[in-house]
Amino acid sequence: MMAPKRRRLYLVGGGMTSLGLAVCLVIFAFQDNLVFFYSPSELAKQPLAAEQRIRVGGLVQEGSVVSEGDGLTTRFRITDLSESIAVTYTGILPSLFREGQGVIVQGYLQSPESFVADEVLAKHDENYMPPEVAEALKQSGQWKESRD
Amino acid sequence: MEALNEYLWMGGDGIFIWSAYSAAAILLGGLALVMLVGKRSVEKRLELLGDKHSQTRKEAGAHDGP
Amino acid sequence: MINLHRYANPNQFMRLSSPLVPVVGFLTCSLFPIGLYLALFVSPPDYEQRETVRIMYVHVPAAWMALLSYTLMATFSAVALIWRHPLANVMARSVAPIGASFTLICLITGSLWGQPTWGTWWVWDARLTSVLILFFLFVGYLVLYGAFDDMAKGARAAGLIAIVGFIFVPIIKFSVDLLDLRTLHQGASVSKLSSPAIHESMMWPLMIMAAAYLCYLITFLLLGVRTEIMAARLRAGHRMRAEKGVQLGSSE
Repeated sequence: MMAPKRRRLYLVGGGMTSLGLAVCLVIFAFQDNLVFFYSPSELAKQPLAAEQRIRVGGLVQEGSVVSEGDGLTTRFRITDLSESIAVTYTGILPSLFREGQGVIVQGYLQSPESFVADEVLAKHDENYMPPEVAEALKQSGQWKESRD
Repeated sequence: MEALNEYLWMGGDGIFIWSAYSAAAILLGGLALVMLVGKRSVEKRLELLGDKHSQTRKEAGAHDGP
Repeated sequence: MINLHRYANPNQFMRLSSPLVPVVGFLTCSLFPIGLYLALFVSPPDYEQRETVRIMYVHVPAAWMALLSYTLMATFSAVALIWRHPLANVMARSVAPIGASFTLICLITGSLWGQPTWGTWWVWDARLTSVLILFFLFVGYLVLYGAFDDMAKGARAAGLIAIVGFIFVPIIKFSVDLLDLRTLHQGASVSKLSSPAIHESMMWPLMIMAAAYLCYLITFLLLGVRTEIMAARLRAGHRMRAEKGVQLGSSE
């Protein structure tokens, strides 16, 4: 006969272990659904249905941002440095939006190569520093982009 | 005055920054206040109980409290 | 095994904690002004977020302390459930409102940072959602604790919630990075040892604010437990008086 204390310890320990295992398995199984956004490469590999509302994330391709005449519509390309996709967005862009910046756009695929976004979110990286330091790093060539 | 206004404006993001700091201050300050008031009230009631307790004991001839 | 029961004795706790409360209380009261001064006046704006980076100094320590509070709550609940220490439930119950406040601060300030930086108040990504779940776990714990007429029953039910919910803490802290669940929220900056992801001039205010939050947590945890012990004494005193009153015939 086990002491009640020990029995409770095993009970709690065993319960936690199995619950933890279950949650790990669930997360592992639904990993694809928990991913917040797709990369352009993933879209190129496995095209998704046009009526599905999805998010695409990557960097705004350098030199790709074009403002339309109406002053609200913007066209740009999102790249993950191997594949890229054209995006059209009508609305106000977040202040961090610029070329080379990480963004996540939400909307629908018009065709496998073009995307119509109704929302643009600027992704922020985990670097925090004063502007002078950033400037100095860029000038000395030690600047390293650490975005996904 | 000008300088203060410019400081509070925070380059246009003042509203977000000051709201965030106020929210944190209100929540932490509020919880602290609630807990301190709760502690004080329990202490007071405990003192009251102790006084009555020692009084009854005094009447019964036990040695006195404070 | 060392005799933990010795420290779980309420009288012992009152005796040991009484000189501690003013010390950590004083630390809290002095660290907050220093931290706020550094955060609001000394620290520079960020190269990208500009002044909004200042929200980080109230947001990030709140997130850390929310996770620490939950870890403490779950640990105390497990100790109460397994070893039936008389103080463990009281400690878990006292840490819960503090943890809930930290989590709420984390959510509110995060939202206020997200709007100017990301361009949205809220997204349902894995990281943000799991913090919201953490908040509901704290609230659920508190509600369940008080939901039963029998206090011991409430404590046990709430304790189970706390322990089961503890599964979320490692998910919030690690899985986001480990499992490569791409989120809108950026990764942790402080854990990166290689290149300092946070510049020194911003690290100091952050660390001092974190220390202030930690001292706040300790102060009000001790204070809460002390109040609970006194309240238990009060109840016991009333019960004794009531019994005595019955025996002697009402004296008042």
